[in-house]
Amino acid sequence: MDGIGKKVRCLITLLWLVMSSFAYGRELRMLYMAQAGYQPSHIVQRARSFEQETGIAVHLSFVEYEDQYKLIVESAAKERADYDIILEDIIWTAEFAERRIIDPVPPELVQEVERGIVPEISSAFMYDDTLWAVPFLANFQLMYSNMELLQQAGYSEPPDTLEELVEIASKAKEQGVIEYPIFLPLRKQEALICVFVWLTGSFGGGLSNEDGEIDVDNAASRRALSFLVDMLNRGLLNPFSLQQEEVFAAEAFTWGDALFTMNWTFVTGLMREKHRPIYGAGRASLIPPARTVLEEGGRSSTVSGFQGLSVTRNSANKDAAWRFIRYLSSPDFQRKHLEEMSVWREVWGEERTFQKDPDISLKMEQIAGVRNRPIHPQYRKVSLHLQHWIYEALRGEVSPSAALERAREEIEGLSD
Amino acid sequence: MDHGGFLLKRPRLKISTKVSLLFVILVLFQGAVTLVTLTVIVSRSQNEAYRSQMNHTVRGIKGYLQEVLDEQRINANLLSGQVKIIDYTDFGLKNLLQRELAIYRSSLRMGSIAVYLEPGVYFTGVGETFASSWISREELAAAFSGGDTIFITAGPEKPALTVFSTIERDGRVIGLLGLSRSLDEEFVEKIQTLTSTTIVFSFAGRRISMDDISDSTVDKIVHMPEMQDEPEEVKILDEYMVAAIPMEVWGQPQAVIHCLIDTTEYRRLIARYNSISLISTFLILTLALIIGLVFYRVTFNRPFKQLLEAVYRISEGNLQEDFQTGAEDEFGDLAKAFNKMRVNLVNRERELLQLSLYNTLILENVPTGIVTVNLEKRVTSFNSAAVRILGEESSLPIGAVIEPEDGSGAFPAALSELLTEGLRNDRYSSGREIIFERRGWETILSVSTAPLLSKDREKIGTIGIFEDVTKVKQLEQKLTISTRLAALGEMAAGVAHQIRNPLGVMKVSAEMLRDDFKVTSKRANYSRITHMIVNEIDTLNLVIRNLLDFAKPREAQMQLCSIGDLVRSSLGNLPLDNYPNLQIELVDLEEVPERLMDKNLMEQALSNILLNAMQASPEHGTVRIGAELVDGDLHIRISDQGEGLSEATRNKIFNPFYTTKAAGTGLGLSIAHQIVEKHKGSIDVFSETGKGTTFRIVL
Repeated sequence: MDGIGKKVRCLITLLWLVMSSFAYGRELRMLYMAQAGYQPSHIVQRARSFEQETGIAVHLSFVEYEDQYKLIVESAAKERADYDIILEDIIWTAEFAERRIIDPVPPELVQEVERGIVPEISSAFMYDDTLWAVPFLANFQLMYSNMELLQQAGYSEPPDTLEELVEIASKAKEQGVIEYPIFLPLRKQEALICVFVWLTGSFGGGLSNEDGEIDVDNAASRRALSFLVDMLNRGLLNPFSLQQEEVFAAEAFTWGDALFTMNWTFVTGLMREKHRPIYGAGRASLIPPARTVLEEGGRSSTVSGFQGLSVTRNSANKDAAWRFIRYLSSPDFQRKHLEEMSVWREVWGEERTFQKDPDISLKMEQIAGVRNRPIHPQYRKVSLHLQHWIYEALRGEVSPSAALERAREEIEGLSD
Repeated sequence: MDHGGFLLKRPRLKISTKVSLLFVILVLFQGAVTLVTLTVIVSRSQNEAYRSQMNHTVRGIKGYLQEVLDEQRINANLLSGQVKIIDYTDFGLKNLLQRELAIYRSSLRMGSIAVYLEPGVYFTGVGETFASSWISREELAAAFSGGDTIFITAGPEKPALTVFSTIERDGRVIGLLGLSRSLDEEFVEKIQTLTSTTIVFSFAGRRISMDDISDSTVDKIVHMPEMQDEPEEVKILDEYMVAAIPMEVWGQPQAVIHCLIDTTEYRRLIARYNSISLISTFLILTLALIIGLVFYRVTFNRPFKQLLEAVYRISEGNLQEDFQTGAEDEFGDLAKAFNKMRVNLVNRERELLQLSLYNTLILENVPTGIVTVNLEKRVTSFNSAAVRILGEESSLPIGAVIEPEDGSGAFPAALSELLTEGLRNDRYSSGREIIFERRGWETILSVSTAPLLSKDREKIGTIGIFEDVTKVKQLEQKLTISTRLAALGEMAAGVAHQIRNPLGVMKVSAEMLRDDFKVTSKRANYSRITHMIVNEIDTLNLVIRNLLDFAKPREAQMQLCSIGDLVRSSLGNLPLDNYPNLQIELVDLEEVPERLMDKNLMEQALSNILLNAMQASPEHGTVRIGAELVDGDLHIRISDQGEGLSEATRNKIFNPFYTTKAAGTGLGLSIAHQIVEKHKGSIDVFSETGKGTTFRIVL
């Protein structure tokens, strides 16, 4: 009896392995971020369609952003990846590419990307002259204004420049329209860097030089940091901003506790929710640059938060994975769900897009001024150092210049 | 006592009737008392219950208000301490704060919530009833400073109970959170539901009540003089029971909650209850009465009747039946005691009967006659000895007069005289002898009388005690005779012995002369004379022998003897040939049983008497010999038809040597007398001149 049982167990195990391997070739696992764009249900629906068309099952995992990086890295350490497809933040592209966690996008897809997606988006996923992810989510930040409060302050249009922004905010404060006119996500985390990026851009600069090297301490960055400090000191910027991230900032704005905020495009969707006080009173607009930038022919800057779909290097189903990526990121899918701005240029110009997303023109213009965070394999560490010193400056512990100088020094130390 | 002819007679009531009446009275009394007491108690209890309920209500309301207040405080403190509340307040996020307050208000079902940044500066709030103008700057300032934090605020329509709590960051007051609860219909209804009373909430001229009670009624109640003093004390008014609970702020009553209980319905219920109580009490009492009577009948009356019947049975002398009841209660014990008593009575009766019988036996066996006579000279009792002594023909029935006027009484007159004398005298007399004749025989009685006294020592008659001393007298006489005879006998024996020897010599000499000597002349005369000498000597020897027999009789050797045989044997010893024409008649000799006698002596006695009778009888006479048992004594009668004996002769007939015959020793009857006496008997002679003589031997 024991001998027979042993044989049966072996047979079952063998059968399972065969089935697994067979199934493995017919299955894909994808890691997606829960709060990313597109509703999880839409992603699932798309995956089911893919399954029906191809017979390839797609298993989706929706995780928080904070867990996403960790899971990707853990999967990469395994012989066989836990996930064939990942939704990656652009700030991980260089690192993943450097660490060979992800595979470059196949040429045929690269061509499609180059043809169909604006370079401002696609370039964000370039590292070492290689495209590492197919752009999927066109996240960037806009400025949002509470028109009711604006009107109460005596204004009818959002500011076009930072100076106007300050002026309106000051007036509103003086008039008692609102205690703190501006609310920004300035918690000591990546969101802080995002603000710093677009604000630096608003002052005509960036955090990388022309060579693509990290340059956190420059005139524009100093002006940006000083601007923030000044806003705080003047009481125009809600000090609570230092404790909050994007979602709360959006809440504060959409509940009418801020005159202005800069935040990701998801706020446009919040502004359409009727239960929010901002409903009917919110307006998205270009992030105002400094007057001098405009005068110099510059444009409104924003920060990129793009996310793309990559195939993990240790995936056993790369072909199927790219196939699904192509399927998921196709214009067909994105034009069906226009609550998110499509990455495809062709979708931008469609009538339906204008109907579904009245802000598409604004978005198109804003995305033209998108600035990326430094594309660097050690960006995560760079970001931590920069966050620290920016925050210290905001807290008044150090001057903005001293903060950026220190940050620079530490970042440079990373290279060593 | 005569009441003018109308004699009030108390009717005889049985115990059962008395008990029944008592029970009815008690039941009715108890019912009346119960009813009255119940009515009073119910009424008082109801009032006390109302008062208690109202006090409880007041406490409940106060407790509820305190709960509301405490809840408000807790919630206010809770909210004011929430991080978001603090942050939103501190950072001016009014709308987010309002949203947060709304969430809390909804989830915790709070009233209005407001946040102030400083006194007079309303920041934000939720709830419709709250308005910044409801609270004065002074009140807010006080609240900010940590003073009194409870207020009753006046809203546009409804008052509110507001509790404030400071919002602080790092010990710095950055705001004030006020939590208000409307003191509205819902509030009043809640209190009303909790207390089940009518609640009227009055504040700042406004009044809220959930019941349909008019303002005029409330005004009337509220402004009653009784309501002005100690408002929290429960007052019982005509239609309502009222208590007032003031709600104070800063020591001043700001609002009042009046609790009313409409007692109209209760009073109506009480009246109804009283009616029902009356009816039910009556029914219960009736039922109790019936049950009580039945119970009484079963447990008491029936066994009592049974007991009564048993007592009657005993009173009628029937001691044989037990008293059976089957009860295990006191009647059961009574039955056991009764039966024990019955048994004791039976035993006592038996003992008394035995004692009575014994006394009767004593009286009957006493050889002395006892007669009692009452003061009316009527016989009240007598014993058998009296009848025997007096003879049946002399006895008197109970109640007969001892001395009838017609002299017809057969009671011996002498005895009657003594008894009569005893009735007259109060002393005891004894030993008085009377003689009367009974059945032809003289009877001597020794009579004693004594007064018969009752238990109380009162004379109720006399007791006559008498005994037949006839035999004693006769014995005495015979003793005298016997003594004399004994003396004579002794003397005669002595003489006889003195004579006997010489007679013996003389007889031998005479016989020698007769037989041995030959005479030559007058041989015939010689033979005749010598034979005569010898015969006379024999006769003398015979006399001497008889005399010696009389003087020294031999001892009797007793044996059962038949009288018939004795008589016949005695007759055989007699010379019947000498009396050829004499008839000897034996009567009933075989009818008597044998008797212990000395056969030879008794033959001698009978022979002597028979010879005497034969000698006394005429030639063709009859000598009759009879025997009978009389009272156990053997009477032997020997009668002849001779000439009889005179009294003088009768008195001497048994004397030794007394004879009326020319020949004879005169000792025969003396010897017979002696022999009879040796047999412890007696011998009598009854004779009348010309009518013969009868000798009677009594053994």
